Amino acid sequence: MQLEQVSKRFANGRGVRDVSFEVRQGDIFGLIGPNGAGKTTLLKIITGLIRPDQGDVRLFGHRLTERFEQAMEQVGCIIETADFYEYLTAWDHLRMAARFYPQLPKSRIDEVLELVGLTAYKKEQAGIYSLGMKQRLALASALLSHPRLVILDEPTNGLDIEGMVEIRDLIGRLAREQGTTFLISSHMIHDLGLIANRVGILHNGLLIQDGYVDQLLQGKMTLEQYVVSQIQTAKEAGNYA
Amino acid sequence: MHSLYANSLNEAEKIWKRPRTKGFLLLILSIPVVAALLLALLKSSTGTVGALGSDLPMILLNLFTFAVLPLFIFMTVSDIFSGEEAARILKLSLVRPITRAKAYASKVAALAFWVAVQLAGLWIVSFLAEWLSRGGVSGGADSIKAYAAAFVPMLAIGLIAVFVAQWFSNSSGAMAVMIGIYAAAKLLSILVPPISVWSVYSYTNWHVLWVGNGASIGKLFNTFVLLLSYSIMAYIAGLIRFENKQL
Repeated sequence: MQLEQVSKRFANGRGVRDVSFEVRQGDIFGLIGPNGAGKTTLLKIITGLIRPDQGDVRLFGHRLTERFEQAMEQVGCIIETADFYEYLTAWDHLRMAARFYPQLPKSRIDEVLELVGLTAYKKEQAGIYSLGMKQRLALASALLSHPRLVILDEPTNGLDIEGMVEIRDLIGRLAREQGTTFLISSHMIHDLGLIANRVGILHNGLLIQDGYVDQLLQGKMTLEQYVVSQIQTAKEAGNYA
Repeated sequence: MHSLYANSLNEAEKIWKRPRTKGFLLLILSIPVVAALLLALLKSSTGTVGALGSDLPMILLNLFTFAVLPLFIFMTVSDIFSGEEAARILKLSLVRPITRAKAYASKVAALAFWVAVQLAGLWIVSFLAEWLSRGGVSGGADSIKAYAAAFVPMLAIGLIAVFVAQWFSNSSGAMAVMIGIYAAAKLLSILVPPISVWSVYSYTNWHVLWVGNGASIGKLFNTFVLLLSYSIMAYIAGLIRFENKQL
């Protein structure tokens, strides 16, 4: 996945500016930043929900603006909040999503439901799901098509401690065993530090740092300390999008 | 094209599973049955069926194309566009491998499918109701023509509603404006008759021209082209708005 000088400015003056980075095969890339830093905006641009004012996004070599279907074919994502049709069941949602991937066997729906622990609730309407269950369904939906790139926006939102650990383990396992690439945004630095091998730090719409975790930290500090120090430096330098 | 097919199926299924759609289908099935029962009662008590029973499918088509179907269209369109945007579920299909143009087309196709189903359902039930109440039917071919013709203005109204929905991010606001425009257009056609020629909403009863020797081929063709033109304009204008939506 490549982002080339992507900029987007909203009417309220917020947005992102000149963001460029790439995510390579097998990476677990953590997009870190405080609330309002522009993480969700960036993920929405990457998935085509928002058009950038300038810049370009390429997924698997395909420009998003020119070959959207090919670009998104191997992408699974959760963007912003896990919202669903209240009158449809988890099974309905996944069956509808599966229609976009003709090669996908029907048994895959049960597989992902099992993976996220929703099998017992698959015939219940999403309207009665708790936030954590919706988050699990969103993850099942993102992983359904065996995507090579999974984009997750705050994937542990609403999950209890046990759920957070399960999701973290699942992400690690998919990256290790299937070579799945992850781009995960979160403001929970500690959480992300446990799984990400690369991070990008967003502050006020600018990507102020991007690199492999071990190279950035060099064993001298924790990711939390590093991010805080980078944001502090950016604040002092007055970097704003 | 697979994505267009897949999403059309999804959209049609989502419309079917909405409680409102089932309510409307129930209404469509029940009104002719109630009408048939009333006719049977009338027949047994007076020995005549009267004018009401003379052409039940056409009477019901007039009623439904004037009020019931437009209401179904406005509700469905405001739900599948503005309502989904408000509930933040529009993005569920837009992050799949499908272009915005195809996602839009599949929503319109699903709407068209359900309008056609409602018309077909109404025809079947009203035809059966008339047959049961009168012991026979007349003008079957004419009523099929009329029902098929009624689909065209309903779709045109639907496409204008789709365009209107693109300006709203909540379904109740969108629906209120759609109903307001429809009511205003109907009223304006009465107050200023020359305007009615150019108003799509004046052609909801276009189907009557297809019955018997209602109108010449030339007039039917002209009206069809007018409705088609409005439909194309509304479709494209709506698509431009939909493609530029920032979700």
